[in-house]
Amino acid sequence: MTPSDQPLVEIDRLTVGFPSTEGWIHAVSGVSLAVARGETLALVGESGCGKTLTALSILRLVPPPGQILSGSIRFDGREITTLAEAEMRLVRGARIGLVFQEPLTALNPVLTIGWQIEETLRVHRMTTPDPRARALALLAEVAVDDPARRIDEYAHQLSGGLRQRALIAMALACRPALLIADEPTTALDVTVQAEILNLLMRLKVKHGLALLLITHDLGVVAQTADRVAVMHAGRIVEEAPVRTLFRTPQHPYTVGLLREAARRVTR
Amino acid sequence: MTGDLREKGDRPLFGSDSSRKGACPLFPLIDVRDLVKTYARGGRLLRRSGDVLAVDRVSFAIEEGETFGLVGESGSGKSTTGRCILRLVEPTHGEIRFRGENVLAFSRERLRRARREMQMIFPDPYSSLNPRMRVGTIVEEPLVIHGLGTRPERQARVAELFQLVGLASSMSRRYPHELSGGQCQRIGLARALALNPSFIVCDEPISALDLPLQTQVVELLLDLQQRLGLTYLFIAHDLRLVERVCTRVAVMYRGRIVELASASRLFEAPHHPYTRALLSAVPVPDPERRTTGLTFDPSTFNPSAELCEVAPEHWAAV
Repeated sequence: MTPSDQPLVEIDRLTVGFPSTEGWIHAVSGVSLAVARGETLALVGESGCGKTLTALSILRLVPPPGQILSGSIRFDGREITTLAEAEMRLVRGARIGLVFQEPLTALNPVLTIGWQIEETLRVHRMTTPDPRARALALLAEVAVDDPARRIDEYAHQLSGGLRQRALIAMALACRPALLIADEPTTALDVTVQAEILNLLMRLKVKHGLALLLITHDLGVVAQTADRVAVMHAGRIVEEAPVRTLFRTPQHPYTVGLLREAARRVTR
Repeated sequence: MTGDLREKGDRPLFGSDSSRKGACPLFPLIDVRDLVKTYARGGRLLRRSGDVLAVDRVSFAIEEGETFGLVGESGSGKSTTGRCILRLVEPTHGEIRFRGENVLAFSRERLRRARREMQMIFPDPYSSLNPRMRVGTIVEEPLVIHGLGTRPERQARVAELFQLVGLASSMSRRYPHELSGGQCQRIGLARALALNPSFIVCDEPISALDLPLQTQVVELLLDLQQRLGLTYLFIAHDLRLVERVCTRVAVMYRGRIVELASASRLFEAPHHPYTRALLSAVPVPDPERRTTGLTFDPSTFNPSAELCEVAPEHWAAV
């Protein structure tokens, strides 16, 4: 029905605001972005620049009292901003998966990993004859060693890398078309970070996932993204294919970020 | 004014300090020898059956004015090593000398005085500050505990410390939750500086902050080092940061130091296969160059290998 050359996500002049005594404060102002099917778009910027809020808007999870004030978000050809909540639930977590920065707080400490993966299937009424088998398969897919043991373990029994893998398994449970990963490796050791990034890249190719990667690490961007959008103070200041952006950055803010990143690696 | 805060025969609490430079040229500032820390696995009853070796026969020395880096993945024993030096964790075995004096033999009272010289900055700026105390009180607390100065003197010192770490002194009335992560870390730093220490263990001081803030805090740490003649033990898993700020670096793996060299040497010519794997895992900020991603096979790790000098001042356990 939807032509495949149409972007999977199309954000048009999105403005997200928070009320204050002097009216609305725009945390995201007039952001336009597109993510194609199977593409990795990196959204780069420092904390507070609005990158996470932009991503949360796609899921309609802007924390109140903040709200989407204007603009349009189309996902797979459908307007998200006006979708009924019941319909939104069929998109959120099902068609769009989300991987958080801090896997320990994103996982429920009193439920097993397996239970939480199966919960995703239950909530979205995925008809699976054997949810446990599906959860096991998902854990195997995210390269968890010995999934038969891990499935009955709790978050505190897992290392940071394993927790992040479990979260990715949950995000993949309903076979989404888009995966939003918000600083997925910031809390991890470099060696584990490399493993998780490789895993995301592998899954992306295997399932034709589009990936919206939110990060402040330009090393991660250089190694994974197809295109980059740089955000600063609620606006996109520059957007380009990754090689173009690193070779010929246009905006002074981008130039500064790149210089900062280069300064920290002499090799 | 701050001169009054001085105890008899002590160094002044603040300002340029001539007594510090070359105070004890005979000894390194910190000398760690054969440090071992084991933790009991499971309950007390099963104690004998399997202790975890968190730190395994670690030796190194830190010279005055140096920034010594300890790197490794989580669980490698780097934080435990840092805490053992300050005796926040009691070592199981080994020797720790501060200006030639055996820290492990210190009495409670001597240790308390030693803590004026040795301070710590914690990894998580929020959770290391008491949420119910105003940040000014937090910074003042070390002075109160060590019984230094009168109230007005201490407050003047707090104002001075705020200025030193780049915060407006009007902020002292606020609570930690009212500050940003970067500001909280500055409070943690001001608290560490309150007693005018000569040595600070910085345990992942910026890993909770984002890049531009990291840069600011790092610049501040380096600036303070110059101005106050500080010596740092820098514990971090961010190799790029370590490369930038440290004079010498030790790489830890499973409680052992596997390599020790000057920062420039270590990053240019890593010797140990684990160090190579670690360095190759850092994503290169250049889309034209792929990260090589070497892997280290843990089964090849020999915990009993001793450090040998593979090049001048470059040691590796092979």
